[in-house]
Amino acid sequence: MTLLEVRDVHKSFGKKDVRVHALQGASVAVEEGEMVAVMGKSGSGKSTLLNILGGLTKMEEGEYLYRGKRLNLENGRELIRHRRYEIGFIVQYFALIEDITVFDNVALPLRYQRIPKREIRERVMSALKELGIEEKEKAYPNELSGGQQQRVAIARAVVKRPSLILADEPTGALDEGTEAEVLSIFKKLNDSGIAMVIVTHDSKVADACKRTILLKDGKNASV
Amino acid sequence: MRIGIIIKETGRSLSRYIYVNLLLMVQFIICLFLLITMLTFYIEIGDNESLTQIEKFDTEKWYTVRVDFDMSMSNVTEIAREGDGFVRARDFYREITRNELFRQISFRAGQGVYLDVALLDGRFGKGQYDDLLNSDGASSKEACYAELEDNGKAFTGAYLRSAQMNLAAFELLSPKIAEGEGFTGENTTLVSEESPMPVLLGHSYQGVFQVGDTFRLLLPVMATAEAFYNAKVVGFLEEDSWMPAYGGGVAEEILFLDDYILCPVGMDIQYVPEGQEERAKIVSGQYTDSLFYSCISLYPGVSYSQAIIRAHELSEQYDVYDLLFTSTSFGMELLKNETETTIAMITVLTGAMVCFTIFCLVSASLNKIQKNLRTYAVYLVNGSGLYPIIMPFLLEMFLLLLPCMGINFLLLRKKMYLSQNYMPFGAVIFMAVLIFCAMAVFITVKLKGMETEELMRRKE
Repeated sequence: MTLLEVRDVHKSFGKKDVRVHALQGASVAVEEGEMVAVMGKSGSGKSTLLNILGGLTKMEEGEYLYRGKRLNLENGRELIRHRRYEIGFIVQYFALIEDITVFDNVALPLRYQRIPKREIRERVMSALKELGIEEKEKAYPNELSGGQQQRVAIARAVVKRPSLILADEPTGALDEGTEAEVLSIFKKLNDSGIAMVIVTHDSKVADACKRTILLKDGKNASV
Repeated sequence: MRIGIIIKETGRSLSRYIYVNLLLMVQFIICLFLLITMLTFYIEIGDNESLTQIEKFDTEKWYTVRVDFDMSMSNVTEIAREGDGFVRARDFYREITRNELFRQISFRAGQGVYLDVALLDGRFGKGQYDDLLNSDGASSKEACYAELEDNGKAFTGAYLRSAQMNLAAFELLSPKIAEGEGFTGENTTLVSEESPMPVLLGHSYQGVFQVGDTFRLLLPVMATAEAFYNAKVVGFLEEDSWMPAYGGGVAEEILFLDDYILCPVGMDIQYVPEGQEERAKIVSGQYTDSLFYSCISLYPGVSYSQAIIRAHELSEQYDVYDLLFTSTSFGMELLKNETETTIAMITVLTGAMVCFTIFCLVSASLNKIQKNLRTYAVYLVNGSGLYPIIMPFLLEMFLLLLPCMGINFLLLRKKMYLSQNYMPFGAVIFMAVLIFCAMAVFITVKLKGMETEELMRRKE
């Protein structure tokens, strides 16, 4: 069953005279539990597409369907709800908040879901344990290695039990050994039924995915 | 709305920017204080105090005057004790009652007097004058009697209903006289220690006392126990005569004087009493008490601030207590000694301070937003809306403003309570709310334009 589908997406940036067309009719469909890589050269529109999938950027033209239902991108509340419950984000430089602990960073999405404190604690500790960093619960992000920080970011993405994880160059800032660890974590997550869309330049990451979408000049080059 | 998140985020921001916040608070306190002071200096707020008792017989606007609360009765005794203290207090009173800027009147409705029981028994018959006893607030009829001593002679005194007013008040009220005369410039001017205090008796006394009768009368004052006067009946008030129940905590608006002995206060004492106690009696009972329960009305073309400044100048000139104009604003009171140039300078400084504070507030907020943009992006991506981000900003601003308001309220509460006027404080709160709303709009616009995806990709 198709989890998410965007059709004929158009998006441009900048003012009239210096307009950059990031996406010019790209379409993507992701099945439930699928792991998809999005590749392309710099400026091909990969990250823009990912942000549209995550409801962070509005598209100018196109259609967004989630579980067969059209998502109204003009409705702020609907978008927030979509991000809050359905989607987990992972980015290249981890996007952790420096002045709060690992525990609070991971707990962040759950606090927006109004989950009781006790359950938050259980779920956060379980996510940290699964990623092998439970002893870092009270540490601050700047006390961790790059690999550990990415695990924290992954824990934050999975703790809310999303149906889709969007990852933007998740291994871009990691060394080879850590990259392999992160990829194995992704595989494990995917095996547990979470769909993943990973924007990457790295063929090893793409090879780990079941399917690759290639973007060129804001359009699908091949699927 | 996720209250817990908002409170947590507010706490995080408050502690993270503690020094900036403390500086902002100091600025707010100074700014609010200056603003209230200047606002209340330029906007006369005396209109708000209504003297309903006096409005019963006069349509002019009257402002309440008190002797400054900081003055204790021992200061009054001190003044009387000093060589020229009596003269200074008397001349100060004369200037206050006879100047070209305002008219002053005094009423005192609650103060009774003592007369010798033997005199009353002889005139009315033994115990036949219960209605005349000042039993309001007394536990029993017996409480209206006291053992007294006058010049070494012990006697029982009866506490009788009495009221006092100064000559100006009597002339303004002009109650009808059934027999004899009222208070006049002549009979309220005492030229020697033998000159009697003129008293007017209510209708109940008519036929029992006669015009020209004299007796010893104790008009109690706080500063001394020796407050006996030689009193002389100069007239009788017509039946149903009344006076405004102003001064002395009487609940009614009008006081019917049939059972009353009406005494003058603020008499013109042209001699200097020899004994210190005697001087204390006059300074306290005649001048200070008269000013304590007084009010003024302005002559045409005179502003309230001019009157306040003149009263203050006179108090400095005669080196006596200051007067407290309870209708006056805080700013007017504080700046009454300043020259026009100083006031203009303070006004400009206040304006500059307000602009500077707003500038600091905006730049501090911008700085906070700029430094936290990536954090806000993380919040949004993880399911936050804009409100849980904006609300801590506003709550933080509110928490900074609240103690500043509190401190200013503490500084101004006495003036506001006395004048029953909370307008300047309200005006400043209103302005703060406006700034608050402007900041809310500003922050919302700033955060709505945030490029979340770009921030998420940025390396910290």
